[in-house]
Amino acid sequence: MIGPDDVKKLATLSRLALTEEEVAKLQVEISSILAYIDTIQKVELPSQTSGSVYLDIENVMREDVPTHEAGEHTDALLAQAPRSEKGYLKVKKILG
Amino acid sequence: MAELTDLGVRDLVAGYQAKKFSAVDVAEAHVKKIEKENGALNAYLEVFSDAVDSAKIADARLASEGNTQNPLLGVPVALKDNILIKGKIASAASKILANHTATYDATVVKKLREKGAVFLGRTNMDEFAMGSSTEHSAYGPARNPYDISRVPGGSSGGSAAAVAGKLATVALGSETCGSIRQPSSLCGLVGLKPTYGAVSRSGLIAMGSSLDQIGSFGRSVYDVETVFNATKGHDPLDGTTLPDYAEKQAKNKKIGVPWAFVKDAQPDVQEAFAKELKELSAKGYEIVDIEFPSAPFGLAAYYIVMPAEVSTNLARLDGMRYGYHAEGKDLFEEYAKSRAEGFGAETRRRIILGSYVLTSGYYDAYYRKATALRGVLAEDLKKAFDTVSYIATPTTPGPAFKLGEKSDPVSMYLEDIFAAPANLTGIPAISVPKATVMRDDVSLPVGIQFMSPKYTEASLFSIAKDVVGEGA
Repeated sequence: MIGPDDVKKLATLSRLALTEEEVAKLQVEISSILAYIDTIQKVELPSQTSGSVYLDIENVMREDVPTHEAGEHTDALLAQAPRSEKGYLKVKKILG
Repeated sequence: MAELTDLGVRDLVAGYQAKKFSAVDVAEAHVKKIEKENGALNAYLEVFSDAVDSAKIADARLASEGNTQNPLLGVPVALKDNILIKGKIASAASKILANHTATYDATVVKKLREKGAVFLGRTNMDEFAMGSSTEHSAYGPARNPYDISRVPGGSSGGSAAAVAGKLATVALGSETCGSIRQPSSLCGLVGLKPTYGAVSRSGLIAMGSSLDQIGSFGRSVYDVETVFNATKGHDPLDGTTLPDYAEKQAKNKKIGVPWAFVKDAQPDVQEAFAKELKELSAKGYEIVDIEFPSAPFGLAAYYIVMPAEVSTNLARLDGMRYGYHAEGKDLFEEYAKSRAEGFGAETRRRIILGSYVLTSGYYDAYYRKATALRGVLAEDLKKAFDTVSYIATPTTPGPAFKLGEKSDPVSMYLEDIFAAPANLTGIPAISVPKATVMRDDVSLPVGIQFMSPKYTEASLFSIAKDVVGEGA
């Protein structure tokens, strides 16, 4: 079973603010899900497996060229932003 | 006389040709029925105000070019709320994207629009396609038209409820693991999960990118086949689309049945399944016992791979560029509050789980192991498909369950036990409605599933037609 501190650490990594009740609930739920997914530890796996065998696909390349005019989509995209100013997204200061 | 909302694609095509009714008549009949019945089903989150206008355009095209080459001209389609239409809200049934307006069309939308399909509205779903009941929608659960105290399945439950309730002729959904087949099973519909890469995902809000695929719901095999043929194809905007989708035919009429795996279904579902197989053998199919030893572990592997991809894909939803934003004292707090307030409980659970399995130290035990297991599943399938053309199982362990019945996350996850192998290995699979079972004196549908090798959708349609007795 994972502890409350584990959940809090995962929440930080996941950028999720959780209340104490949510932490307690997730601790139980995540532990129960982990108990279920741990069943795969029982499967014998060949030592060498090709990671991509199941998808049977290859990398697709395209020319690295511009696909639209600069600024073509700026207004439409910025209209979706919670806060913007002079054509930029506005966010909290990250440098002191 | 049949109502316009009862008709499938083939009847609409014939009716338009005979000028018995117009596309506007058909669209209006659907809109009217939605107004009357959507309150109980909550299948649609929004009915598009321009639905009838698109039908007018379709009528003009029907008059000028006809529909002999184009069966979808004037056909009403419902779209799952994670598929983008430029200028319309696409929220993935999440609060975090409540006001998100799409800035471009999904490739499937472009294709269907060119063919003159009429988009009726966007349908309810589990938030970000995470769930098997639509109870994880931020906008309330959708209901099953067979019994509104039961769920329609999920995550594409709104699309399934819309087609089963005759609030749309056909609908698009998406699958990461069972999200089309499971609601098809619970709502008595045909539902296809195509070969990975057959249909472009450009404009589909991503969940698990190595698994996601767009597919369709219909009340007949022909309807699903028509939508698949109209939407498939290579797309430069989706690097995972197959450059050379070349249709392949099943090599024989052998159906493999992994009986040890089928035991995970409820007893009467197993009986109904066995009866369906018997009917198929009377129609010239040969039923063969096969081993599929890795199959029961597929779902556990899925619950490693998917959350890992979810935590990565959903990292972009940070409250800064678009979507819900919460104020905080610094940037980190704004991220954490925006995401905590914007995402629902199941989404948060899967993000946390994804962070866990990707944490350094656990990566080998989980993600690497799950990836290797996908390889083992593919090897097992390859071995089976050396002998048989199809693998059959029940689509779901049981029929539609009551709202609130599966509040424990793992019990909900087990709904997709039979779905996982196809998603993890990229093969196509179809759910076909035939059997019913009784629960609380209500007769409820439950589907039979067929899986087949990549590129053999045509053979899946052909066996599905044999199951339901539908002509070619």
